[in-house]
Amino acid sequence: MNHETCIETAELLNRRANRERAARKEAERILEAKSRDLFLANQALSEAQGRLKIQLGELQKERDRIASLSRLDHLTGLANRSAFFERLENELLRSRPEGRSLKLLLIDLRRFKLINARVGQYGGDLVLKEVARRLLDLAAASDGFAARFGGNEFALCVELPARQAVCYAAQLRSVLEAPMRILGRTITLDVAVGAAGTNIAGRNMESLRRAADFAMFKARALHTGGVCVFDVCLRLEANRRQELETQLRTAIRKEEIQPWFQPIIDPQNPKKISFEVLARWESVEGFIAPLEFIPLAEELGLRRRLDRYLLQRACELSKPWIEAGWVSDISVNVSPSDLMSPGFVENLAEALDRIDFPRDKLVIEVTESIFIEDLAFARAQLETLHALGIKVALDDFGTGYSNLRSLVGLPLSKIKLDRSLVGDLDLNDRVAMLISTITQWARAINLAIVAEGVETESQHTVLKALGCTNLQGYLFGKAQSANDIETAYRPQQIAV
Amino acid sequence: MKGIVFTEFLEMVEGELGPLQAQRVLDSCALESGGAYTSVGTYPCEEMGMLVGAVSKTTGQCPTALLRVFGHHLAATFKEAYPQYFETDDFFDFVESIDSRIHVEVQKLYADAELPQFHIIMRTDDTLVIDYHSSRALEHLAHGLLEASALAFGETVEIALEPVSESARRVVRFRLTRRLQ
Repeated sequence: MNHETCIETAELLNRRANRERAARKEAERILEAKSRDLFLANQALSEAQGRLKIQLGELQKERDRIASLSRLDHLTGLANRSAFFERLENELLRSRPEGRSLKLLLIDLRRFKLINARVGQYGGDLVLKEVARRLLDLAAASDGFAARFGGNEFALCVELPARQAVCYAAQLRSVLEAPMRILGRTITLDVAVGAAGTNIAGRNMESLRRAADFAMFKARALHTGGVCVFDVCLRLEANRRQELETQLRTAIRKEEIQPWFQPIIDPQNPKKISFEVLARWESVEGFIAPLEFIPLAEELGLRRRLDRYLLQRACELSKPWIEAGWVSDISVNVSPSDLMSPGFVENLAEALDRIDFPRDKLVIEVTESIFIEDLAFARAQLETLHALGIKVALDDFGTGYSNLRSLVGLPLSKIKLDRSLVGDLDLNDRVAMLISTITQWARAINLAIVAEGVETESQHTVLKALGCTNLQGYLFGKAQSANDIETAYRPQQIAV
Repeated sequence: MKGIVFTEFLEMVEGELGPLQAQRVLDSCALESGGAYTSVGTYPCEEMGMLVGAVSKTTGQCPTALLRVFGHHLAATFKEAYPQYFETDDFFDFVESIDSRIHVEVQKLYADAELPQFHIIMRTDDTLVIDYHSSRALEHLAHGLLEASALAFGETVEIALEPVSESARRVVRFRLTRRLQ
């Protein structure tokens, strides 16, 4: 190898070595950069993870907040119904081994609509908040818990010895009824309390709830002192009611409740007779009073079905009497809820047409309560009945609001004086004056006046003299079955 | 273009021509990078063209044949460095996995890598038709790679190339036909 070649080789090798060194440095630079990128990416990931953790924490808090809101009554901040019963269930389980006695108190603010009407919706909300505050105080004092079930219904659960239940319920009521100042006005609530304890109702939540509901049902029915505690007597009554409920459902299904007919006479013309249709239920245990089963049917939502059956059956039974000419018409009671239901008039007309019953021989008896709910709709329903030729009588007149102004212009045919007015006739002279005024007013606007509950000859004489156009009561006959009516009232056919 | 293509090309050239001649080839190219390639770097594609041209001039071998030979060299390197990708039973399955598996892994390491794409056009038991999409016109390198890979699978495959599009992103159709052993 000559010198030049040696030099060239050396230079080539040198350049190659330099190239490889440069490549190694470049590789190191790239790897360092990559490593730095990875470090930064890792750092960014850690930061993102930290942020994510914070966000997850916030999300969980929000979730907890929403979950807690779904268990709260938003207006008052009390527990809502589902949260309350969930806690009650837990308390019942815990109380079992310890033998503690828990009381469930249901609270109803009666006639709350009137409070709203007085102080407005906003004021009404303030009242509810104040009730919630008082309940919370009571709950805190007795280691209990409270809830608002919605509307004007509240509940409280406390641990109490059995004998203190009535006292506590009364105390609760008086605390809630203590006057409160709302928007510059003094508001006093009317509170019903229904209470039940585990000592009588048992530790099963359903039975405790049912017992408290029943006590509340009884408390609401009281005119004064709206407190009712579920006790042994009430338990018997509740059981009886439960039985009756079952029997009633069966009786309605099997059409065991039948229309009976009580005569209504015309004192000027004894031969002109009409009948009021009354429901009679003869069970295997004997007759059950309408006062017992009619409200129950109403409560169970069976009243409409029962009324419609009775009306149709009464029309079927009395149609031959009307056609024979010895009965002028029949009067049938219709519940406010039925009358005010859409389609009532159409269904009625269809039922009458189906059995070919003359419309002008039917009187529908309604009570004044229909005018309280929705006067315009009630008026429209009555006008439709009138247009169809069906007569309308206002029942129990003199016991309700008797808002004469709202009665003016209604298509009524009759007014039925309540039996309590007739009963007072012998005791109070002013009642006779009142009845006289009513009959004069009725005559002036061409209304027939029927006096109910006539039981004595003296009542008969006075009412006839006062101008009552029709009389009804035990004096003229009790309600009887269709067969007995035919036997008693059907004119004898004269054999030719 | 990824550095491994350059380092392996120089490896092959040094193996064939010796380190001195290989350095002379490099010197003749006046490369911007100075030829200091590293497998983890990225270099201009044009430098590969210059290197192929210079080697071709030195050896008298046409660039097409040179790239195809380089494909064989690269396939051997890949098989040694990444044997897991060659663990399929069937050569056609391996070809189908280039885009769906191998290139996905490359992209994970080198997000900036501009990789060719192989679109499967048709496959039967004996024939596989694929379209090679690349902006670098290295279809002959791909040809050599496929040819050598087939051999690695113990198969002899006849490969026919047919240009489909001469636009900026070149498309060449490869028809691979298994030759009966």
